[in-house]
Amino acid sequence: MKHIMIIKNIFYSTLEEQLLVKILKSILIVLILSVGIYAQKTRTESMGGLTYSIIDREQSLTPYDFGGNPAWLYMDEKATFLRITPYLGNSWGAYRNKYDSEGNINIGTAFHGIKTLGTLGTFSGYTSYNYENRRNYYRSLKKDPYNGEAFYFADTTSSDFRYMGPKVVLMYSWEPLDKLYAGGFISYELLDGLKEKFSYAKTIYRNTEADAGLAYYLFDNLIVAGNFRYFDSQESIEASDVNLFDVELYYFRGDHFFVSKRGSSMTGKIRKTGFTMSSQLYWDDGNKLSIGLQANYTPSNSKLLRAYYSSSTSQSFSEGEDSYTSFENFDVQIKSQYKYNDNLLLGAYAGYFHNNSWSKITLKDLLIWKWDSKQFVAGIGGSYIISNTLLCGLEYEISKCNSDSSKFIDNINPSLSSLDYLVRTGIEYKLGNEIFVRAGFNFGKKQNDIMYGGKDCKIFRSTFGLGFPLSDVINIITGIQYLQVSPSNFSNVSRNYLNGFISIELKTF
Amino acid sequence: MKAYKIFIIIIILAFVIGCNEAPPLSVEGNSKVRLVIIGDTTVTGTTPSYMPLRNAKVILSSEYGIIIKFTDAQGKLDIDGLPSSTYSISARLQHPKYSNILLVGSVRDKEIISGKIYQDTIKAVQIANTGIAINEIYSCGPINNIFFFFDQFIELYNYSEEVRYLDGMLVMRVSGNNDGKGPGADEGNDGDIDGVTYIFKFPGKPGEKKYPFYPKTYKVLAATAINHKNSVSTSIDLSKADWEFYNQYSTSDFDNPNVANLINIRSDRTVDFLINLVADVIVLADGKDAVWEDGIDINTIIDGVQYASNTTMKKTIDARVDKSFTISPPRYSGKSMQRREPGGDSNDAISDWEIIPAPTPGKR
Repeated sequence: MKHIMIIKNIFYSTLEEQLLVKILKSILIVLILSVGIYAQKTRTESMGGLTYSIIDREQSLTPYDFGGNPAWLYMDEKATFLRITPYLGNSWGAYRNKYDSEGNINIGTAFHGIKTLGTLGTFSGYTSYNYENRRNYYRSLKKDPYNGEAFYFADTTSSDFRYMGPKVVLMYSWEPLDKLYAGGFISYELLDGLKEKFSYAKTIYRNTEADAGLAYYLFDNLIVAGNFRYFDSQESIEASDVNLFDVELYYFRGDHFFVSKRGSSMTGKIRKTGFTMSSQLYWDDGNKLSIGLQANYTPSNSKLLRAYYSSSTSQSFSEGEDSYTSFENFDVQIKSQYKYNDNLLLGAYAGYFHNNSWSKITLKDLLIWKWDSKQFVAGIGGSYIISNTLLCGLEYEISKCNSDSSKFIDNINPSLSSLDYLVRTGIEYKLGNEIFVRAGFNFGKKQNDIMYGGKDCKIFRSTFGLGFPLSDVINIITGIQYLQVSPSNFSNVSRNYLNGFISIELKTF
Repeated sequence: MKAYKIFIIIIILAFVIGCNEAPPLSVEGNSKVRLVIIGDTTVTGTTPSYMPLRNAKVILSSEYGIIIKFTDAQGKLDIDGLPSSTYSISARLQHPKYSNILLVGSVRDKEIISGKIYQDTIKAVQIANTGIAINEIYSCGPINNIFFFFDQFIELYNYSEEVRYLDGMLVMRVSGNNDGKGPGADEGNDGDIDGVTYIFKFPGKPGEKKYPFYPKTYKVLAATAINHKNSVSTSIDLSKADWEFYNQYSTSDFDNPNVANLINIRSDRTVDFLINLVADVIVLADGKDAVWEDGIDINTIIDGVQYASNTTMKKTIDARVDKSFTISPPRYSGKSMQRREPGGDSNDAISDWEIIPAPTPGKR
């Protein structure tokens, strides 16, 4: 821990900057988690993660692929398949935050099936089971300690913490009226967490989502769509030591002040609810140019609840709200692709993200943290078919982020600005009949790393994959990627990620 | 069109149900405290003479724990950026001329509200010097998973400059009177504390001088004076304790013949002197009033301490014995409670005591 603190002191001259990093990290986590799991980008992931400069059936600009609108599933997925994807991931390295683990192992298997039902519609089913082990997770009992709230929920020890459980998503889309498409999905995720040392905290995390969407062909080449998504998650934490020791928990309000509570069994609950309103626009001239546009607005809130509450003035055995956090996220994104000729495809992307949040202590009705973040991203790229067997792509992305924060309780008011860029390259080589070798490389630089707080960070990512048919009805797609993030102002410190998957695709079932 | 209508209704409902609250107008962490600490340093005469106390220790305690600051040369202390809470503030300083006199002042349960300035002058008075204080209480037991807590002890300290005598003194566990005001309270307002459940006595009578207690020394009173490491490796060796609680009415209480005994004067209690692991009241009295049935006269009490596991628990000990209670360590954590300074007794336990990582019988 001392080592980490030394590193952080070098990265940041002030506590304010450290704090801001936490805000930005939480935003990024939200963005990462918001990426749809329904369209697994198995092919392009192995090609350096090319996103808008390549024609790929899982990377189109339609409301389903780009905007996650289930109404367009019916039009997007025209073939039945079942995809079974075992995956394995590991991360390690000293470049991390205070409440992060030393490293994570993720093991799981995902099943994703599409069943076309003709005029009756299209059905999609997804289920996965994931096992995650967080090595030496430092004190935090919350599953996501850096999710933008001003509250930490901690005990006194660092220990391995494992989470495991299933996730199920059922989606259906059909055409109720001519040119009108409707769809919806429900999602349920359940995770069982266990800390392996004192205080032996147990967590039951469940997340439910429901989404309903519509899409309409306004003109022959213009689609307007919208969907509404409601989500509700609850994390119940119980720390109860098997060896009769009292459990001491710390309800941090801000970074420094905390209220400690003690007992033979201590419980806490974090509940988050919200909804997303999304709209999409898709235009395709039917020849060369296509454009996808989406806008999303997500207000949500998170509450830390205590099973038992007492103070010098009141006492209650009913569940009470200890603290409250409000989130408001808005984004608008546009992607376009232009087919210059049969061999060259040009792509562009722009996005604007605005996130803000505030937290209060409920009983006292006092504001303790308020932050606001704006990010603008722009990128261009292209892919070129060099020969019948070789395709290569290149993307360049630049982003600018400004963030302000006021952590009133700690008297910290930082502002941070970061100008980042990222280059993605990828190739696909056709070895033989439907046998493909894919590889990619990313290089990026971050003025201020919003994940872990370093300055002038370098990002290296290399990917490799294979795709080949096992039989007429079975395709295999494999991929492996290695990612390293390292700050340039401190040597020998980095965070490393190694992930791999094998996707077995059955074209009928 | 039916689907359209459903979609619109869902959106309207979502707006109604899901609208987030407006943020509070007041912000946390904006409280200011302006204190002046003055103390009565008179050593002759009866008219108090107050002067600013330089470098006095000021302890602010609240649900957020304890903050310790020191006054400047003018006896002033300015603190900005405190979170809102109910604070108890105490100030203390050793008398500039007499090391055995403590100047202590305090205010209790002051609402310090964000955005406002709390100003106060705290008058420190000289604490009556009883000379002996309960200095350490080890109650929670060592780290173990077999319910072992029999290595409890109480440590006394003579912080005066002269020899004191333990003859006839009483050590009590006060955990009764739960139907009334609570353990250690003055039920009926008749000048005594009630709820004595265990009462053990040093040999002799008050006023005799057979058992000296030399200045600046400790006395360890063990529940059972044996080497408890033989039972639980994480425990402590109390075989060389100065005194042992021995219940002569018990058929099973072990007696170490090499350690002098305090004996039980409640014949209806037939078990060893054991105290609650995390919440109890311990009282030391001079023994002039040993009639526990009607309460122990407050004038005879030398020191009393209440400890509790939580800041929100009810304080029951009479304010004339102590104005607050201290926080105990968790059960079976192997930690102990000790005065911040040897014998430093301002009758305000929350500021006098602290939790230490391991018991220190007979020493700091």
